[in-house]
Amino acid sequence: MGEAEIRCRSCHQRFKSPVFQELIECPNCLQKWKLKWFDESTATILAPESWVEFQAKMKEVKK
Amino acid sequence: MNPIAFIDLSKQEIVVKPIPERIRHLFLGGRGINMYLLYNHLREGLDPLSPENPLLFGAGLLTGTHGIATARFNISAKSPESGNLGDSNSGGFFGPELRFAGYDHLFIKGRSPSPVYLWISDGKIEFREASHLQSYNLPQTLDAIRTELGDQDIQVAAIGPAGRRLVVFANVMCTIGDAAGRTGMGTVMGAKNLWAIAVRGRRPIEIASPEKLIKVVEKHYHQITQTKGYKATALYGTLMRLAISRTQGQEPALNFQYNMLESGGEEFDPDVFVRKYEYGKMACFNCPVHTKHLHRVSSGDHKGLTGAGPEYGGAGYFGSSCGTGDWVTIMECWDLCNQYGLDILTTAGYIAWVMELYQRELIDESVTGMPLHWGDHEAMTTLIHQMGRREGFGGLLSDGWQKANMRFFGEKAKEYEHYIPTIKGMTVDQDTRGTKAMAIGAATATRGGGCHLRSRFTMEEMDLPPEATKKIIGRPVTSDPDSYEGKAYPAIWMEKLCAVGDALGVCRFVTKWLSPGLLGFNELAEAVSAVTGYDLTPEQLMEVGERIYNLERLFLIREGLGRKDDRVPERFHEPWQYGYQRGSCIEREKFETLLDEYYREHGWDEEGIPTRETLERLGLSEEPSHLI
Repeated sequence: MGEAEIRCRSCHQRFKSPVFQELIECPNCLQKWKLKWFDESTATILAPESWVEFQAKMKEVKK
Repeated sequence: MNPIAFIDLSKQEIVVKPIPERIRHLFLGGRGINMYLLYNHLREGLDPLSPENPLLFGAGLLTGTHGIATARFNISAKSPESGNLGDSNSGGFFGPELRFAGYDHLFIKGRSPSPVYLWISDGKIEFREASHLQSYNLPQTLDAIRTELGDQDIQVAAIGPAGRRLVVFANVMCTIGDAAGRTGMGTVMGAKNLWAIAVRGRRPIEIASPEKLIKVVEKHYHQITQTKGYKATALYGTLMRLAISRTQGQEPALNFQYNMLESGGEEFDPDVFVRKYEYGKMACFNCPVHTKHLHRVSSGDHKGLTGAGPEYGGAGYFGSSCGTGDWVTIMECWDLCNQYGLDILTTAGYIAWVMELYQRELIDESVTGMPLHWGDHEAMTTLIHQMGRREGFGGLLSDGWQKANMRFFGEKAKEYEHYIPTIKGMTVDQDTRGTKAMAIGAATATRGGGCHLRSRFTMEEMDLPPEATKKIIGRPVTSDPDSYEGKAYPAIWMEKLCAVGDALGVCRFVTKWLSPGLLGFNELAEAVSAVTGYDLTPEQLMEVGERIYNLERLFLIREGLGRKDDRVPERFHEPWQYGYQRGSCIEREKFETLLDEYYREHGWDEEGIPTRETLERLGLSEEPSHLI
């Protein structure tokens, strides 16, 4: 089975996702992302699991 | 190759001249030759609405060939919107058809005594009466001309009611999804009483080596379609940018006051748009990427709303910047602009500006005639109708923000200018606080507005290791988007790629402007060689881009612009409030140091004027002679 490299849009760390998994958690910052798979080795982040929760978190981020 | 038609609307005379080979080699075509003609035929200080303002239509050197995504053409003139360099670019099918009809460039001067459109067919050019189009909106104008000429395959570039009424940010449209926006090229057409240009032709474009071109196209097609950038863009179009902006904290929220729109909610998401409202896609000539959406609202109060788009410009600016995440509002605003022939980005920028003035109680309903609350559907659509018709409060904006600002604040107008984020007279189209190569590219962009299509070093936010950028652009670039270190060179590299792309007629979405795996100078040189037989090296192609950019810089200097105008909006010196790049801003001293580096890299002096050595190296020391 394939996998795709994902770059977390929140903390910018890279991690791998198992193929065709639609929801993934960043192992570094624990943000959950919805993924769009184009083929078994290419995926991109579509959105956070919840925009409202994500935006609340963005307010707390320290640089 | 095809000639230029010099068209005098006042005298209704046409002179056709070949394009000298030397000029082809120096500027290629499209934006390049447009700039050569504009620079050399425009008198400095000329009123953009004067009949003497040259209006150029230029197809790229590869436009209309089998080369990938070779749909583009440029429209150039002195801009009535900014008062500076006017230049706009569109895809669709008009550019290729212009070449099939027998012309690569149109040079249009004068003013017709009554409204006309041009009908160009297989080399023949006719002036045709256009007064009967007076009551039509833009899509109706396109349809009426095709019907009148009896051929639905005719390609038309037309203005709408806004252009006919000389709204200074009027655009030119070729289909409901293809606009040459920004800088008011539709206004220049309106001032000339030229309401449309229709083209149709069956003349082949000569290809130097058809066998070589087929191999090049196959190679480029596979290269493009294997990239992640292609796959995402083919599905979500430019709306992919919305997801990136929202997650990275780069939204131009509430007129760039914040970097996150809190009221967007779950609905304001490209995947929601595609699932709920998209019913199809459109592609330009010879393009595998097909980024353009077709939308339809099938339920609710706005059932039946249908059109093309929106692109990120609509979502980001009618959305985030005007304070709404409601797709229906965004789509209706987008469609109304297309019906009037108003530039989307400027229209949205003006609405966001007056909404902020209202929010701060700097203007009230005695001036506006209605409440202007953030994201208010009724207020936004009413303002667009008013701008397009030059009526009511919105009509005050139709002559541009400078005049409106004077009307609002009189002799104190200067004090309030910072509420409208502009560069070189145009509303900005990107917030570059957290990406410093993009910031220097935006501050110096030759058509103003911080234009993302003049230089946007997208790779800056992709976390590429320095050795990777060295391989792509010839120098290592730090992977930190917020760093100022060495950011002038990548901005200039991207300027050259954009200028060459426009001179060739190749869309940004298949080049390294979008994604590092896409086409760069090497691939473009292969296509040029196959089509024309010109054996330009990638380095020579880069030099063409540099030459075009320097000529545009000379245009600005001749109009009185210089270092003082290479700025970011005042607001960009304030830090972003939210997310991973919280605190990012443009620091004044560091920006000045970067600007010095940018000028040095370009071979310009400390005021941003190209040196004699630079102009001689680029072969520009003869034509633009005022500096030497």
